[in-house]
Amino acid sequence: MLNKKADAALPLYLGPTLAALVIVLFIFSIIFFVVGIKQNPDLVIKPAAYQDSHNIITILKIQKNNSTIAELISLAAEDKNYKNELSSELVAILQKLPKQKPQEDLAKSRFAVPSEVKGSLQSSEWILEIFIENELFMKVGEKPFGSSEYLGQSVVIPLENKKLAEIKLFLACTLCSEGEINAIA
Amino acid sequence: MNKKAIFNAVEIMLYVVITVIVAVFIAVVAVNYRNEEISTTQLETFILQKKLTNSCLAYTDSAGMHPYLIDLNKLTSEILSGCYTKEGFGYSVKILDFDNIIIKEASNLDLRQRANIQICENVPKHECFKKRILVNFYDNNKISAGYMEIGVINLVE
Repeated sequence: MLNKKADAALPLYLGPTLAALVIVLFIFSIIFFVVGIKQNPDLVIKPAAYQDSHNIITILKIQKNNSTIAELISLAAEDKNYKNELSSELVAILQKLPKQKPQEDLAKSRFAVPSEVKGSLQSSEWILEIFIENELFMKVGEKPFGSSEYLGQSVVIPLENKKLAEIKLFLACTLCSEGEINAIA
Repeated sequence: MNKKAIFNAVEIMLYVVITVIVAVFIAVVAVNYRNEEISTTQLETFILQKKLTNSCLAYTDSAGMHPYLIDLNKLTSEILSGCYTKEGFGYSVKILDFDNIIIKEASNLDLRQRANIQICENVPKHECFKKRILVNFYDNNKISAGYMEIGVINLVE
């Protein structure tokens, strides 16, 4: 039972309280049903989290002119004449590595829907870096502006001159979604 | 009923209506969340790819098994069906060169899956996924580089 004071207070607070409730429910309705925040795009188990160094291992085993890329790295570390050959081979290989499926961009569409605007701004590039004794020996590929690094892989191989070379590979991608990355992991 | 009693009845009804609105909202969100569809086709394709490249199709010599070096002699339907078979899950494996020319292909698909995989988008309760990875393959004492493409069709309830 309300006392006399509360009786008087109820109409005073009821309007603003109801208005606040309506605003909260409206905002939550937009978040849950329009934006769809409940639909978490993350997979329960993400392939990208379990990926191994398969791309970099495969690249190192690719045979070119009777020697593998790994052997070419070893030769280039000793003789600078092999460096250009190694660089051009790596550029060609990186271009063949599968990338995320590009979204339809504005050039192919008449309507500027968000996914196509995103598709127009999306760009990705595989980057390979070779470090010999922790010093950068070679870098192949240019990071697109504003890109993030995905699918990082690295291996360490011994060279002829008893030094160690660390080879790092990653996908630098602007506006890539987790789903697109998981599809190529 | 006196004035106070009427006021209390209106007040209680208001509270009940507000409570019902909030409860219905929470219930709708909860039911939608409970019915959320979780797709596993992409993950299953990832697991299949690992099994194929690291074990079933991997080239083996006296030094051991070579992951991601595909032995083309092992790419047969018999080996694929012995490698990974699951009710409602079918797949095909293609080895292609860098010019996208098919070197060899094999599949673990039944007749219905073989027909449906071509028109997967229009087949109800089925999900399809295609994945391409870089591999080396061993053929006639020669190692070449190319792609392994896995096409999957999965029955989803």
